Amino acid sequence: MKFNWDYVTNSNGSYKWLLTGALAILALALGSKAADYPVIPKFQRQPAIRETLARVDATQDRWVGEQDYEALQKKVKEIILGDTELTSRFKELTVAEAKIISSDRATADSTSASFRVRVELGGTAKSGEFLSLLGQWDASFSRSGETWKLAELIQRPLRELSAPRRWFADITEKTIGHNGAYQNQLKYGIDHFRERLDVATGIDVYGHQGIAVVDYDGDGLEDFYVLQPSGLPNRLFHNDGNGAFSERSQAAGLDILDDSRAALFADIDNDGDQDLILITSSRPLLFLNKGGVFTLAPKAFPNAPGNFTSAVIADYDRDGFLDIYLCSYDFWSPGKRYNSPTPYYDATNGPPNFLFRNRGNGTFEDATARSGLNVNNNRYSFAAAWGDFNNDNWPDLFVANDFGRKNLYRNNGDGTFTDVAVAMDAEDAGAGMSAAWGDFNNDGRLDLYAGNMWSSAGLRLTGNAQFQIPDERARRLLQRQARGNTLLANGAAGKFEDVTADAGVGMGRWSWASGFADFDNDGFLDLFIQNGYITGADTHDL
Amino acid sequence: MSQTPLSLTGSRQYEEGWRAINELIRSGGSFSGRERKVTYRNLGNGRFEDVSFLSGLDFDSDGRAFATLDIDGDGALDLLLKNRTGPQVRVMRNTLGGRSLILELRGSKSNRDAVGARVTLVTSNGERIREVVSGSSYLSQSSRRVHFGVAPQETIQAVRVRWPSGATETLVGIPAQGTFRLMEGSGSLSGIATSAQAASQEVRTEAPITDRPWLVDPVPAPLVTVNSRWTLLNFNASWCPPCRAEKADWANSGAAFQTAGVRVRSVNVDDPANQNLVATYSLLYQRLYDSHREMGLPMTFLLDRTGSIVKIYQGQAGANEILGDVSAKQHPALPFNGRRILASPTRNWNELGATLAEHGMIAPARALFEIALRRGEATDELRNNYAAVLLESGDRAMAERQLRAIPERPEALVNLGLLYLQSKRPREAVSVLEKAIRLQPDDAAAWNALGMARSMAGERPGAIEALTHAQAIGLTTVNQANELGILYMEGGEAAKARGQFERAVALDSHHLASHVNLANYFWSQEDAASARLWLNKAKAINARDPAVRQLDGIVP
Repeated sequence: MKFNWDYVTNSNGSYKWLLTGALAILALALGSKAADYPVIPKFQRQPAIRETLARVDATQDRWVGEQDYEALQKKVKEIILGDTELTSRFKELTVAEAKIISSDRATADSTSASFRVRVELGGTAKSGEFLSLLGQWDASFSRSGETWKLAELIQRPLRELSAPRRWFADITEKTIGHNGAYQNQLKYGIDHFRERLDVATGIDVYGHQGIAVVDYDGDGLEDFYVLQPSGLPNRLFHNDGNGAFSERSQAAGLDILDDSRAALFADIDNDGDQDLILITSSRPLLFLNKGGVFTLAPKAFPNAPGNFTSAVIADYDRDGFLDIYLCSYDFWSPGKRYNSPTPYYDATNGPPNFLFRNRGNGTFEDATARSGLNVNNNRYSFAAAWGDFNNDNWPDLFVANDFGRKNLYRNNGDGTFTDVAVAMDAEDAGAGMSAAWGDFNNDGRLDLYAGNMWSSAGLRLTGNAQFQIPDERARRLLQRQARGNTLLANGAAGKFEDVTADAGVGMGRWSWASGFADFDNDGFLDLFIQNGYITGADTHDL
Repeated sequence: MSQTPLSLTGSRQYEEGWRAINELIRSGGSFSGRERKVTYRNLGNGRFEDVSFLSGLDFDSDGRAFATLDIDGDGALDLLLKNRTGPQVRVMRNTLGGRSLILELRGSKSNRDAVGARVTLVTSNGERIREVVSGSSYLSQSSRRVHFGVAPQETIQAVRVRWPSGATETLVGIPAQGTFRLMEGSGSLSGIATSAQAASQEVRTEAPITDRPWLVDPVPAPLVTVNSRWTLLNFNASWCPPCRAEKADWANSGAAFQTAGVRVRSVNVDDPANQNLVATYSLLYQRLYDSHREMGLPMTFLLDRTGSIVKIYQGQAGANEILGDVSAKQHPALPFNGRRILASPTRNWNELGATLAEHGMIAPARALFEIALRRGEATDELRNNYAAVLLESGDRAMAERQLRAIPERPEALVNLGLLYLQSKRPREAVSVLEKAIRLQPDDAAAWNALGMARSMAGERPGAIEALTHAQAIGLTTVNQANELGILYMEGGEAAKARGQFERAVALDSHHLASHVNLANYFWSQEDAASARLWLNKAKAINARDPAVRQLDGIVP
């Protein structure tokens, strides 16, 4: 018996998946000779965006019927807006939100569904006060054909809060509005410049540029420094003491065009003024302050490969000189070989973070391995925070990692650390974006607040009984990825306790910086959360 | 989310999902956009309440960072917000007032900023703690001064400080509010001025240098030859009013254009003859800005005498603006002055070239790759992609040279292996593929290609080993299963062969070879009925195929 060998030599179709650089789309051309075989594209094309998103976009995922949620949310919102008993209380309604946060809908073909809806209304009441109404309702819908009809609505009472004025007033124009650097630059978003600057300037979409407070000229008045993406100069605003700030980046030597992420001002050489450690995306830079003018100290840091996000300062060995811990991430960018965080809910293929020890002579050394901070140092880190959680006067370190678990490194007091996240119940699986210590319950022990992601789409997907994946642990971790921020109370028993639900502080949406401050001066730390990922021209959101 | 891989190895589909999301947010899509900021008030009983609306901070910007400080010296913490969207900075004044004690600590034995110092406030309500922190949250550094809110009826009894040096001190007789400095070991507070010391009002109204920056790095203009000092490659349409206005304006400046050496090349986008030009420049325009926007009209590419694009006018461009530009000595690519500390980023020729090549624009892609090669800016990835473009242009020898120049690059080795396979040089293919696998043992595609090469070289056991390994690490293709089936048949392992053929037909119901082979298998096992069944399926795919016809004449 003889096989037709033509099929072997012609069977080159299986080679087409060779991916290389660039957008990982170029494959070497290898054509098939047999006309019967599908023509192999010379260049393998990137799949149509929408087509691929059908697999990752909750709103298009048929198995839970996500494609109707936008419409259903709109319906719920219409019901709220049509409730005159509610709306008549407002002179002006500025916030009216309805988000479906849980659902029992099994498939796209289900003809009925029950939802939990988060309802929020805010505006100026008839009384002239500012009024906020907030709560959760249950709604059931039934469907015939393509039309959904409300079957039942359970309106639980909404919590009411009012105040004669809002806590914060926007004084941007009054304080910095007279500066060209504001009117022509900072008033615009990053997208404005992305549309104008050659992409080769290095400008990018993400907008991960921070802000820092410093009294850089030692006049007792606190100034601030605003960071910018590559191609736009960072801006230093001097506090003029009369309620206004003047922009003085150039004179101070800080009109830096490099891709900047975070700025930390501190007295690095203990000479009495505030130096700057500027975290650029590719490396940290030290600028020494002399009379309010900053000069680069070229060889301050050892070489460390990475794509840095934020950094935090402490004197971890208490030798009187400040040290720095750098977080590293791996951002997707066109043309770069990219390893996606894997697995999504517990990624351990991230780049390493670094601990740089201040040698006291204006240079730093890499102390990551020596200090034991190389343990579990393989995640996607956005942020870290130093704080003495066990009251032994040695600063401990909490690291918030995206796509997974966090690290809590206990300072052993001998220059080394031990990751005690598991032992202390402080792993807090989630999409970690920020980290902050603060004693929220005034019990003398520092508690933790970690910024994660809260997603109504994620909640209803992962909370749905139909959300079944074989690995129960993975299922739980995926649910955590959407649950939101976490408050970990530092308990008397020597462990952290997740008190998020009781405290009611989980919802922070897609959080970035978040942390404690006593805004109302009542002696208890409040919380503020910056959030939101990418707002584009397209109002359809993923 | 349901597609998230559960294994440690990223799946191709998952990677594509990331890529698609990133392209979407680059090109105007929204992803968790328009989210309102969240503020929680601590109720003092372990619970918080959502005061997002009342806080006045619930903007729907893309927030990133924030910092607290007391700007106006009223003892209430004000906020600086940093956003991705405009305005990128907001200064927010706290209107709640109240009392607070704000302390700036200065170390003497400790680090001078006293970072890590623990401050305990002892009051009639008990004790509370703060630490001196330098950097926290995310991308943010708040005021390093510690802030204690003091409730209306509360009285302060003492402040205890534990310094990083280990020293401790206790201060009594502290005022209930104010901003003070505390030196390590001094045992007393001193005031900090919160008013101005004859601040010079230095108002700087720096205007942008240009609202239409030049390109940082010129790009060779595809499909156009220039014969003047400057060329305006102007895309327009008759139905576009600003295009008509622009045309009229330029016509009025005809003489001035001529003097300055400016030539206009008008491209009507509706003219079918311009289709290729429009497609190419649309793509180029999209990829020269990170925003990846579609080309709008009018759109003008300014080309220099070498035929390189040096500037792009998005929207209408006045004749005066153009004349000013071509006579200017400076060609600013950035809107504001500033200093670069690190090396300036350079154009990613690889990405731009690959994008053009992906869309079938082979010659322009080749030109871009060659710029990078000339300038010594070629990465291995670029060489690899350049090889693909060369192959597309039919230049197999040159492609082989490029790939051989990067012998340590696993993808290049695999591509070289494929090139050898295509050239029917299986032994060379086996050699480079084996090297590729030594460098990257988990590359399933390399194992697969190695199996095919060994098969072509007649190394049956080695071929089986490589192909089954590719399957074991997650790559199964129809041709590979079919190939394995054939190899098993050749080795007399009929049961295994059948399994692979069945795998192949399950993967692709239109794959002719595996259907024929499965029919052939059953015929060899004297199962005529099954053979006929699969042969009929093969006939449905292609009845005229010689192998199909041959079998058709044998099997009853």
